Amino acid sequence: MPDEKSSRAGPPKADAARPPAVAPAMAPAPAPAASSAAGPCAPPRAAAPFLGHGQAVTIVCASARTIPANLARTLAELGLSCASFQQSVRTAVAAAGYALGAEDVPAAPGTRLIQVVTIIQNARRTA
Amino acid sequence: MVQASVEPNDRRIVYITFDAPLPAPGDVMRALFWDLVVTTADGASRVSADGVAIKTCSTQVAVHGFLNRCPPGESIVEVALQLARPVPDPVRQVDILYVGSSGTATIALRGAFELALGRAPGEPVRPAHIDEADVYVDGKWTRVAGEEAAFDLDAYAGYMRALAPGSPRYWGRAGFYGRMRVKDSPTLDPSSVLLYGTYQRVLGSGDFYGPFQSPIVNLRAPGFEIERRGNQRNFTLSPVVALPVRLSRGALGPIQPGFVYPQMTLFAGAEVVKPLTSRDAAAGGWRTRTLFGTTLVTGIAPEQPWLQSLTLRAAYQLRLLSSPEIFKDLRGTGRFELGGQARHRAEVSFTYFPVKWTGVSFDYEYGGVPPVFVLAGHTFTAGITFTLKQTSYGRLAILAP
Repeated sequence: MPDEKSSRAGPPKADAARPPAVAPAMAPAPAPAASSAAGPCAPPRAAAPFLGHGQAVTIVCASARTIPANLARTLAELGLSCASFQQSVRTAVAAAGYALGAEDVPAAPGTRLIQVVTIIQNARRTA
Repeated sequence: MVQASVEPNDRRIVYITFDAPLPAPGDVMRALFWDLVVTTADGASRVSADGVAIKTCSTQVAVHGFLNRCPPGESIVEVALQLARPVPDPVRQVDILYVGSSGTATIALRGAFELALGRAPGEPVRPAHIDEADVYVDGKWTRVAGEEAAFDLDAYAGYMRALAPGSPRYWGRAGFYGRMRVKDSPTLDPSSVLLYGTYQRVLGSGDFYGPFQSPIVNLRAPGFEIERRGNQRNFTLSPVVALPVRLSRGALGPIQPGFVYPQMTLFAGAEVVKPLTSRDAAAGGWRTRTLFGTTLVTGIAPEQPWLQSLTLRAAYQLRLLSSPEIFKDLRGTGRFELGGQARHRAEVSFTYFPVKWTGVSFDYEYGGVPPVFVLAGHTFTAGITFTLKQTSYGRLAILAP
């Protein structure tokens, strides 16, 4: 049976879908392997020309009101209304300063959250 | 490993997502455990991983991107492999091999989407994996001992897409739908047909408010209700607001694969009706039905041989009429009559899908739907169900669970 709430993870905050404005208190240690500033170990930057995988995960999980452990689940499995979820992702991406078209967010019942992440991570920064 | 993809903005990075049971940090965090085989038109070559970063299931940590060390007590959801050299573009296939302390695993990337082919850094995403067509067929064939066989068919199909998809502003989506019903008939001759255009728009940001997602307004206009046996044709306009409810408190924690979390929809609206032809010669004016209802969907989808899914769908609708409308009470005289009583409609469907698109359904039904309310009492039927590719947009528009 599903757990109502993970004991390890707090609920996503309303602003969790927004890029952090200041250096995070729990900033990860710099990764020696990540030489690129846009690499996977770098904190997301508000000025990045594209949304990026990390922020995409955060936005999608906040819109689905769940934790990244459910990235492999479908919208139907998570009990989501597809239309509202699609709108929530678009709103959060726009609030983060990036652009997505109305049809760019996949939202069929069989769509996995990680598929949404893979699509929206390349959203371009608005001018 | 459930999915892997190449980072379109830095092709040296490959993301790998895990499914339950999530791996322990020591099982995946060493670069030596990972190996890639990249196949291009020139042949195959091995690529090693220089580094491994992780994403854990804690949302707070996820805000800050990937980590190169795991906080105590966290489970690993994703890893990002930093490769010794970038994945070329074009590429035919990338095979990711894991050989570690917990065994071996492989996953292959073949599609243009996962391989991020032709996607320049920052290039706007293209509409991929969008299922716009919406087709649903639910058919039953029943035979009662001593009586003739009877068909019961409920099918709908439609198409809906966003208005001005290139615009940064949200305009909603529009389309058209058709629904055909054959009720207790010896042939597949449709007894009622509904045709309508529909406009749909999410009100607000789409976020959750407690257990509620943002409401969705659906406008069916113009619509036509056609009942052949009752010789009834109606023109309709129907605004309905649907409120999705997920029966969870707060953020949803990890759920088992295949479990469909219960979801309800509450809706309220009106159906403004203008009869075009009717058995009731005096019934020519506009009339209104006030509509309330709810739907519920839950189930499991193990997607295993002979058990793709088990689904439970339930719906209830209540229509309050402003003036009498035609109905047929199969429990009494069986003739068409006029009446202004409240029209209840309840249906519960339990479906077993041994394969993806075909299953067996067991249905309970009470009451009737417009244009001619056929009050059949409590009925139980069983039959074969066919479900083609579908989205959920149309289900909201036609009040189906």
